[in-house]
Amino acid sequence: MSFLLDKSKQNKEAFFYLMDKSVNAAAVHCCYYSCVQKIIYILEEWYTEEYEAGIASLKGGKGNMHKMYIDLISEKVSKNKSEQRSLRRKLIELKSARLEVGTIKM
Amino acid sequence: MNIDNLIENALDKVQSILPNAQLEYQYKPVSETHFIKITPRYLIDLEEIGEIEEQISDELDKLHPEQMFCFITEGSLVEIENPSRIVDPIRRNPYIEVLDILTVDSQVDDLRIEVVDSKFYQPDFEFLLTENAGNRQYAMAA
Repeated sequence: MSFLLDKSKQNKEAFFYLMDKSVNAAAVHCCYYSCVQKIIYILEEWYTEEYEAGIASLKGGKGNMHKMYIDLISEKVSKNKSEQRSLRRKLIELKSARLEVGTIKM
Repeated sequence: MNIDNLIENALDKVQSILPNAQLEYQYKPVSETHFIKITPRYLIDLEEIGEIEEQISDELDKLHPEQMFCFITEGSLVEIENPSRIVDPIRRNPYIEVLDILTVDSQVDDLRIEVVDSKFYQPDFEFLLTENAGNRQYAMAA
C-alpha cells in the first residue's frame, strides 16, 4: 500500500477511535486529513498532469493548496455535476469545521 | 466588482430563484470561506443553485484566489453563528408552493408529503390536508 493511502487509513481509524472517546476536535482533524491524503494519492496517481499543473500554479502566487485539491478532485470524481457539487460542499464544510474547534458537531 | 457586491449579487440571484428560502451569509476568516446557508434543506440541491455557486466561485477566484465560496444548509458541519446578512423569505401565493411540491411527490407511487421545515410550509399543508386531501393518507414529518 502506498505511504499516503496507509496514512489515510490510519487517520480514518483514528477518527473512529477518537469519536468513540468523544475527542471531537482531534477526531475532525483525522477525518479531514484522511480525506486529503486519499485525494492527493488519487490525483498524483491518476491525474498527474492536472495535479502538477495545479501545484505549479500556486507557486509564487496567491492560492490555497487544499482548495486546489478540493476543486480538482470534485471535478474528477464524477461526470455528474450534482455529485461534483455535493462532494465539493462536503469537503469545504469539513475543511472549515476542522478549524472551528468550538463549534464542532458530531 | 468587490467582494460585497459579489455576495449581494449571490444573495439576489438565490432569492430570485427561491423566494421562500431563508438565506444567511457569513465569512469565516479561519477557513477563508464565504458561506451562504439556504433553508429549507432540500432547496440546496436545485440545479440553478449549483450554477450560481459555480459562477460566484469563478468570480471569487478572480478577486481572492485563496478564498472559497460554498452553499450550506441545515445539518451541515458548519454553523452560521453570526450572519452579517440575513435574507428572509418573501411569501408568494401559498397554493402555488403546495402545488409545486405535490407535483414532485406525485411521481412516487406511495404518495408521501415530507415537510422539511415546518416554519415555512406547515400552515399551508394543514389547510390542504383538511380541505383537499380526500381519502388519501398523507404523512407529515415536520
